Amino acid sequence: MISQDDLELLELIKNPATKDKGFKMLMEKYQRRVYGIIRKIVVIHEDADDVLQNTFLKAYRNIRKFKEESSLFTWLYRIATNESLNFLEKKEKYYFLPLTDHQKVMEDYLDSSPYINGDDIQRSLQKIMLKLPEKQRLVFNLKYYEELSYEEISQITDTSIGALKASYHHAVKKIENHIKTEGIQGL
Amino acid sequence: MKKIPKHNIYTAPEGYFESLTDRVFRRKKTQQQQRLIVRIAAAAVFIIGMVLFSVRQPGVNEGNFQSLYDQEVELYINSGIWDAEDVLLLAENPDELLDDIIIEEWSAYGIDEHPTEEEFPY
Repeated sequence: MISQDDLELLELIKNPATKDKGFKMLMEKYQRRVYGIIRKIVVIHEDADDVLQNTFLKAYRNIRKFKEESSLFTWLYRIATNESLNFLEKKEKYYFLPLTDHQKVMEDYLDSSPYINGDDIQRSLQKIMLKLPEKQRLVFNLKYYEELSYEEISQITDTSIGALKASYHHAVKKIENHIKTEGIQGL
Repeated sequence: MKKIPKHNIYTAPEGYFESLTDRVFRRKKTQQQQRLIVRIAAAAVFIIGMVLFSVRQPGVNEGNFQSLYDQEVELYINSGIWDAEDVLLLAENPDELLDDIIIEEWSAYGIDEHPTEEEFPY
């Protein structure tokens, strides 16, 4: 399950004398992929930066709890997706900002941010995806863009494979319907 | 769905990942300091609370309270708001007070309140 590289990293991290060095190596190895999935959920770079840092800090504090039953990458993804969903939930709960309003903020960001590199079709597709419920959007991202297996997604989201397949199927249908109704040219 | 592009449109600022590990470790240090400050503040609040609680225990300032109470009673009597009858009605033991006054007055005239049989002239 766990690669030799990750085992070596974990050995470094478990030794108090080399813990920081080992963890920096772990971060350098996974930071781009973890950032990628966080960014797809929270969309805004500054938010993704905040969630990414918290993800690695949580991983640093809880690395001893890692049971080596799954890959290190799956474990990091699990923390990252939880942190991302909690972040969006907090936006609604603590900042008195309804999630629909934050959805508008994210949609506007797709049009205006310099950290978006896509054509009109790609941006429109991302806006359609923002209309999906958060967890459904997460499953779609993990399956379609990250190309993870249902087994891996099941470990990350702690959801049964059957429920994931149903969720992904619903997400695809909704996206296809939106593409049809909104008449996006080129798809 | 096959036509939907899989290209990742999200990009990060130039040099973002190069400085990420340093920023994460800086945040870790800041969070540790904040946790330490919160613990010190909680301990300080607890100690101050305990000190205030012990100072406000009954009996500590009883002398001051009684002195203020006496002063206020005197003020009421001197200003004529209360007369002797009012004071007696407010007192917990009016009979004892009256007895004390009688003894005091009688002793001024050299008369014992409860004379023995021998002291009576008959």
